[in-house]
Amino acid sequence: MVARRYSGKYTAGGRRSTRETAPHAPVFRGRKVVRGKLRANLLFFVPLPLLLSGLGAISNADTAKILASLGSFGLLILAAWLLRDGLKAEDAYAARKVSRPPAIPRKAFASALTAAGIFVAAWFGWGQGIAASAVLALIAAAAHVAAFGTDPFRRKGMEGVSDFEADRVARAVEKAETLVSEIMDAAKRIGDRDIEARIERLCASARAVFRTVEEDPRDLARARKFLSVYLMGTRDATAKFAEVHAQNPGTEALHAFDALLSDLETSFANQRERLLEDNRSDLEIEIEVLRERLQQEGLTAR
Amino acid sequence: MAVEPMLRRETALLEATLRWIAYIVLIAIIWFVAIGSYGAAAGGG
Repeated sequence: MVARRYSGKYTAGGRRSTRETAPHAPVFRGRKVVRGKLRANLLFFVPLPLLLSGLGAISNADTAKILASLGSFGLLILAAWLLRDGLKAEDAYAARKVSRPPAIPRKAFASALTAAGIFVAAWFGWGQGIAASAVLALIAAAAHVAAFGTDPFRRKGMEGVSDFEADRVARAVEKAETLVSEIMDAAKRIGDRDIEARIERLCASARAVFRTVEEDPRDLARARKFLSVYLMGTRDATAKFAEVHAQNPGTEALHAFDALLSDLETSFANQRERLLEDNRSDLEIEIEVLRERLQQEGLTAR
Repeated sequence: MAVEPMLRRETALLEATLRWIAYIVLIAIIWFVAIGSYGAAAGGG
């Protein structure tokens, strides 16, 4: 665990900026909830006896049992891992207004791998007959599908919009979501709760812009610069600050980054309103100003 | 008038219950097969 500095209004040398005391969005807005995470995680632990059995077989030098036990254990763990990723992908799909189904049907693969794991363990490991093993495998696959459902397979929110346009929006938002998670990763490296919370709120504002674009794909042309310039700039700035802050946690860089964050907060909030207002020229000016600002800070996207 | 939301709620509840039952069945199968395999390895060794 990395030690994090906790600071607040009443901490000695606490809040560094008065600007951040401005009212802002609730902390939990935009946070992702992964449904069924605990249930999926439990599947990593249930096959553990197979690992023990595999280790026992190693001490007995029983090759067939080693392969059966460790093989089925591997299959079941892989299935649990795919299922967890599948649930994450499903949540990302559910959170968006315009979305394509996940490229890999992870949950379907997880069901199939679970069936395969059960079959191998029951037949080779436990020594049951082939029919009984097959029945157990089938019941396990059916229970897996019933418990966790199937992967989303339909394109969502793309009615009345051309395929080309809808695909472009989905792709652009996917790319922007990746940038947002990179920003959050960089923020975590800074190790300052205050800064991290502000960046998290910034990301929530960015996601609000994504939802606006999804509602009206015509906004994509105008939001494209936001999706690249703003987000890439923010990512690079955050990554660079994390690097500088780790080497020299002085106040100068902190103040500069603090001020930049305040500017970005305002810009992100304005961006969505501008998109809604359809005010193109203002937006262009805003982006130019930000681009110059990032250049001055030496933080432009490479 | 309020029949439809009630029906929807009951359907959701039923669905959630079935999902949990399926989950318990899945966990039970994996666990018993794993324990069976462990027992066979320990007994056979």
